[in-house]
Amino acid sequence: MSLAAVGNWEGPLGALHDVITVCDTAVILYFLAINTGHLMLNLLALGEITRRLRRAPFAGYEDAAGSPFTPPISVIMPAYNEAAGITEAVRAMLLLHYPVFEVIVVDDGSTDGTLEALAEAFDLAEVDHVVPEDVPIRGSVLSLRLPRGGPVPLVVARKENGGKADALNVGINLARYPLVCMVDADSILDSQALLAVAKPFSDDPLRVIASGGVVGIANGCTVEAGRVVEAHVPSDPLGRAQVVEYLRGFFLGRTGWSRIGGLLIIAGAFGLFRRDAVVAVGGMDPDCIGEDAELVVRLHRYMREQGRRNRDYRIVFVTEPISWSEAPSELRVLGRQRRRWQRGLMEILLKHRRMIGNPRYGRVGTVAMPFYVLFELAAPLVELSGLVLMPLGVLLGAVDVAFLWRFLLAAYVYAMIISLVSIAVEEYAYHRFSRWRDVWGAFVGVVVENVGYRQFTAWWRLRGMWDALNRAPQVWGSMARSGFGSEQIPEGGKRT
Amino acid sequence: MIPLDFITGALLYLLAVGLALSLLVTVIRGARTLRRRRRERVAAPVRGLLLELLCAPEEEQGELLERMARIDRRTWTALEPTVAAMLGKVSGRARTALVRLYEMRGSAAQAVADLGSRSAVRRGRAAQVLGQLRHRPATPSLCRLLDDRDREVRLAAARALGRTGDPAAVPHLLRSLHGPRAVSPKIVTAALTSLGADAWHRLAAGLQDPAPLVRAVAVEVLGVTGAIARTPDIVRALREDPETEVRIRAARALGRLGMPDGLEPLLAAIRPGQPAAPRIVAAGALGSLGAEAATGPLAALLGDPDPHVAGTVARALLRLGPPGEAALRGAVRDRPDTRAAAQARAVLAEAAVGGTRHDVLVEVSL
Amino acid sequence: MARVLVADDDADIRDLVAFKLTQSGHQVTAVEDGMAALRALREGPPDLVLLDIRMPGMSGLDVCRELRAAQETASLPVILITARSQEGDVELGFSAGADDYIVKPFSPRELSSRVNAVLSRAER
Repeated sequence: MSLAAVGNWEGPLGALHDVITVCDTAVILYFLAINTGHLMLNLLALGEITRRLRRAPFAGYEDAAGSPFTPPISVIMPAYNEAAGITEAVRAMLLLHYPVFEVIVVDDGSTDGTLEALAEAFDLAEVDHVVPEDVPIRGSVLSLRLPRGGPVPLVVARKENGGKADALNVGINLARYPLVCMVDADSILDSQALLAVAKPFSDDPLRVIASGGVVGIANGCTVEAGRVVEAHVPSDPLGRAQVVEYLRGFFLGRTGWSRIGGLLIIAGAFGLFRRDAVVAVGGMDPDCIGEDAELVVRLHRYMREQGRRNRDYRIVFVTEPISWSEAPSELRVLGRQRRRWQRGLMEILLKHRRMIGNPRYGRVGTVAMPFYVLFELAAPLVELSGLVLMPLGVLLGAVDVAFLWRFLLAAYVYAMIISLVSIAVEEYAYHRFSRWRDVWGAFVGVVVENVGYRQFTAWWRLRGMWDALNRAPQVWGSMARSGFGSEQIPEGGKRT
Repeated sequence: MIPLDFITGALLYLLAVGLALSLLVTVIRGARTLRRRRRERVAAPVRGLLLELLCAPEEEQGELLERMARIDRRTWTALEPTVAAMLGKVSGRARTALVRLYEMRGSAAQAVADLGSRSAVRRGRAAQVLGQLRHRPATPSLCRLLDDRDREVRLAAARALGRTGDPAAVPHLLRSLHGPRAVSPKIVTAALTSLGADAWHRLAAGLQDPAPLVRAVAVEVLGVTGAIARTPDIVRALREDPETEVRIRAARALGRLGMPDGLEPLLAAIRPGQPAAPRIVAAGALGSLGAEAATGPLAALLGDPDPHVAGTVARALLRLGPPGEAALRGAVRDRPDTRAAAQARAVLAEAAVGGTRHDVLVEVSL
Repeated sequence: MARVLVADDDADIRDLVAFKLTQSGHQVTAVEDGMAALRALREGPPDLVLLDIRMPGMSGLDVCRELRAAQETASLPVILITARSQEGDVELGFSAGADDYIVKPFSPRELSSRVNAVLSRAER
């Protein structure tokens, strides 16, 4: 297949002409494939969300809130230099609507008075402590503090600086309850958040080992005392583009993956895991940048290697809008974030490359991971080379201008349609955005996301991938394996 | 060669779809706002009547019920969500009035009929309503629904059976724990617990069931509901059951029941050389039991190599009162550099500050 | 006959409480959240405050603490509405300075009696 060729070329120029044609064709096919892939995910998600909505009246939330059998949760909040907002964040966590839970704050060697702020707000007293070593940790725990004389289920640990993953591991060791919920210090949770994310564990306790929630964008929302009281679409184009991207990729994308058992990523900002499962795989990996997603992939890998087929375990995604996080509002910060994310993704896929395309790992290996390699890793490369090759093609006459602009427009409109679908689904299912202005903002976001935003982030994502390739990739065998050898989850998930 | 016309056509088509979607978003939002306003408008006149009903003294309830029962179908549909919500928020006489209202409007009968509907959503909603109404006559139909092909309908049926409070459901609930159409053991446990003491007799049969999950659930429910007459059976389960999970539940149950017969088997269960999980739960149970005789054996385990066992043992000692506390202080004083002393110090410090954290709950599943 | 302020984010509960207490002869102001409650308090302190513990934004506990911290409202009678499921709510409520609590689901008749009881205790 060749595009509308203009004139005949010969010799080396002719060869170049052919190469360009092939490349352009490839780019076109890629555009079609990636958008169709996202569309299919969206449609899967739409089906799943509609299903849940119709069943919501008999889902049993009220029962869970009052039942003594609702599993208790240890909420783990790693914190580094969060003195400004930590008190309010912890207070909001403590007021979550859930029968039994505790909040463990792990201060990762902050230097700005985070610990002091908490100590004053909650009247903390230092106590002697014994920290179990279920999961290996690098920075040791320096102190443990509890609130004086009140029924406040809070624990504040201070440790040597060692990074977020290490702080989470300390939290896992200190956790007392069978479920651990990992949150960021700036995560804003709805009061029903724990109930929603814990529900799968009550409804299917023999199989569910992890569940994640949608993390919305807090920019532009009205936040009072640690709760999003009103959700809005922010008024700047960057914010709007991010909201749309989150709706498409997060809200619908992950729901779709969850539906077919291929959920690879649970956001570090809000995820709930069975403690024994996390301990069995050795906790978080401190050498990985995307430690939250890496944990999920490792859980999949572990459960499959233990001989459990698709039916015997589940990692699910909860679709209600229940948690929020502040997104970057400056280009520079956004660029750094995407660079970091892409690097994390690359590291994870390199580390677990054995799983890619491998039927032993079920849909995760055969569908999800190849999809991520093809459409998440390669996407920035293809996007940017398309931006270069297409004009080049025009210059060399390999591509007809009339064709090109129509095709580009069609490609972008196709991508925008996918985003519009996610907006429509959000409007239908949860309608959290209260003003008409938000709908307009979303439409603007759809345009900005596809024209400008995506290209910008593609550049930073490329750089992230380069970063990942430059540092030595983490090899599976070199990871500390003490967790695996000593404490496995045997048949049925018992801890021996 | 892709013809230009084709790509132009595709482009136009896509633009049309995009426009349609944008319109769709607007329409969805608009329709919702209109529908909400209309519902509020239709329901407004009778909302006051509903509140009157909820707050009325006994004598006036009858007349108000009559009036509400006669509301036309359209108004009732608009009001019904509020009534359903209120059902979960009020108790006592107000609640009885609402249940009566549902019955008078035929909702209960309709729900029972819907249990046989072809649509899973209708079956599930019907089960939910019947549970809310605590409609006992629906029990046999709900029990049949425990075997429904839709998982969420099964869950809704189990929850509803818990609320209706009919002990006849017990064997069905226990049976629903295994098989290809199983119901979540947590939901079944919660439902059986709601049935209270009436369920004890039939639960006892579950203690002998060949399926370990059934035995585990039966033991747990008996413990939570305080069936002290069943202590010997639970003791036997702790000593003899081959399944770890059942033994764990038995240990926990003995702690909850608080009977002295529980002491010996629990002391046997904490001995070293056994799997950690039952030891941890047994140690915690000894703390709940509160028997002073446990002080010595527990204190001996303060230095256990498993920190979870040692930690639970230390907390249990604290709950035993002054002798336990003395044992802890003794460990700190006599062998200050040991693991045991570290655990003891940690627990004593927690208590001094004013709150002990809950015991580790070993949550495992068969 | 007393002035009562009710704060609850749930419209049904708000309306029900307002209706019942008005029926009992009190004068009721109903607000949606903690901030609105504090604003209403500043405009003119009532004789009794009913607060839902868990509201988005400022919770009932926060409002209660604010009340106790301020001179004029330090001895204002407060009843907290808690949910049956939350074990620690009652303790938290009392440590925040509440005088009594009522558990959801509740009976309107019981609510009225509690309100009267707290009011008469406060009068003494």
